[in-house]
Parts: sequence; structure tokens; C-alpha cells
Amino acid sequence: MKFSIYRYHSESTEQPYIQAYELADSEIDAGMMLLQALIKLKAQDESLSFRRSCQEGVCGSDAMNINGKNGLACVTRLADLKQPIQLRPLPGMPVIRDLIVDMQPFFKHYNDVKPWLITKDPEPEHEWKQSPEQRAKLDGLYECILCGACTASCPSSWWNPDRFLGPAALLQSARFIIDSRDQATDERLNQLDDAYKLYRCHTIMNCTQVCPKGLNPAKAISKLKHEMLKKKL
Amino acid sequence: MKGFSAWLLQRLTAVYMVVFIPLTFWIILSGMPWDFEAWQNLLNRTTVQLAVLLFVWALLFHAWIGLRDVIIDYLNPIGLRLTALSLVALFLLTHAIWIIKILWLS
Repeated sequence: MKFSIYRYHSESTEQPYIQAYELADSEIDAGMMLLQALIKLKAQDESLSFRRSCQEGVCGSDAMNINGKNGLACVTRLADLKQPIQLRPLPGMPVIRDLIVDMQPFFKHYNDVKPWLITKDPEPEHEWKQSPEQRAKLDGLYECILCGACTASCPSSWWNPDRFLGPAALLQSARFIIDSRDQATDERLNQLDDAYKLYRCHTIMNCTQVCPKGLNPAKAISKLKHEMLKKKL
Repeated sequence: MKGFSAWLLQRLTAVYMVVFIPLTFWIILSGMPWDFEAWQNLLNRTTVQLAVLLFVWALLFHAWIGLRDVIIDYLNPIGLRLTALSLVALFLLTHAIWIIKILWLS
């Protein structure tokens, strides 16, 4: 099986280049995932770098651009990929080394939306309660694993990476704005009301197409715009 | 214009244009004589003048928000961005004033 992988070391003076790799068919099992192949390639060439952790689509560490589409290596079947398998770092993010990108700007936007419950009432003796209907509204929002595949597929994020929050952070913003227990809805919406943070999204839906968890950040962003409309009118 | 107001105005102007354009075609194509006098009679009515003015302004505001989005997205160097925004604003503003001249001062 043939691979074509982006190589770069930010501390080296060498320009980025594409390196070809090959894995013998005898090393490939039926149903094998791309990450397993990458681990085998790393055994061949220990300088090849990529992030990984849980290996089952939960930690979100191994997001990369696979044959032109962002996804998680650990949940992408080798058999479904056209050869040579082209692996690139997440687009629009600064590359540290090979397939490893700097996620700091991504997590800065995540922190900007204050992804935690903000309450003004005194803490209840037990827990903050929700009805099953209120809880159901969080489905499709809380499951995000922050892999960055969506944000790195969004042209608005490529063009204005410092000021547009990006689909992942906006999905988190929606998760807390829609949460019945959160009491900072107005502050959260006011924070989003400028030309960049939210309204750079033109609903092209790349984010929804690539999300490895099957979430719909474009729909969450539409919900945010709807909530903004309700608040202002 | 901030995020929400621009977003809302773009939609409101779109709704107005979606109503205005077919209505105008319907009026023109429903047996109105196709001569200068008929046009003048139509455009001399204050309601029509106001509706046309509102349409052109809606079109210009809609275009401003759309072009501003394109410029913000694609033109990152601040000098180039401000120049492009100024040129577009000047072009649209000229047309906003010109339509008043066409409707009332010609």
C-alpha cells in the first residue's frame, strides 16, 4: 500500500516536502485503520511524526487531512482510501512537524467562548436540574471531541484565523447558550455580536461534512444566529 | 454596522427585493402600454417613486453587506482592504444619491 506524506520540521531550514512510503500487503490486516498503518510506517522511519492517543475516535488527537478531506486516522478504514493515500497536516493551522499542527489558536478560541456553565443564582444543594426535554437540546452539541477537523476545513477560519471563532468554538458556544442551566446567555450573545466572531460563517457546511463524530456545527451556528435574533427582537 | 445588524439588514433587503421584482414584472407585463408616456405616468406616482427608491436602496445595502463580506474574507492586508471598502462605499453612495436625482429631479 502506497502513502504520500507531508514532511516538515519547523526548527529545520529545510522546505516542506512530500515523502513516499510503502507498506507491504502482508502487514495490512482486514479492517485495519489508517492510524495502525501510520504506526507501522513510524516503525520504518522513526522521524515521521503525528499525534495519537486513544486510537478509537474519542481523544481527537490524530486529526489530519486524508486524501483531501479532514478526518481522524484512527477511525478511517484503509480499505476505503484511494492510493497513494495522501496525508497532510490540518489545513490552515501552523505546522510544528509533519502531521502535527499548533492547536494553540484553536484552543484560544475555545476558551474565548467560556466553555463552562455560568450561573448567577446560589448553588443548589444538590445538582442543577433539567427536564428531559431541556437535556435533549444538548444532543449533537456536547459530543464534540475538539479534534479541529471542522475548523481546519472552514475557509472563513483560514481567512480570518485570529478573529473568526471557527465551527468548533461556535458549537461549544451554542452548547452553553442553549443549556437551560446557563445564566449568561445575553453576555455570551453580546460577545458574538461583531463582524468576525460569528458572522464570518457563510454556511458552506464543510464543517458538517468532515466532522468525524457526525455532528452538525453549521446547524449549531444557525441556532446561534436564531438565538441572537430572538434576543435582539 | 455590527454583525447582527448587517446580517438582519441583508435578509430584510432580500425579502423586499424578492417581493418587488416579480411585482414590477407583473405590473409591466399585465397590459401596460410600452411607451414613454406610460412609463412617466407610472413613475410620477409618489408610491411608485418611494417603492423604487426603497428597492434601489435595498439593493445597494444588500450589495454593500455582501461585498464587504467578500472583501473582509479575501483581502487581508489592511491598506488594500480599506481602499477596496472605500471604493465600494463611494460607488454605492453615488448610486444612492443618483437614484434620488433620477426619480425626483429629472
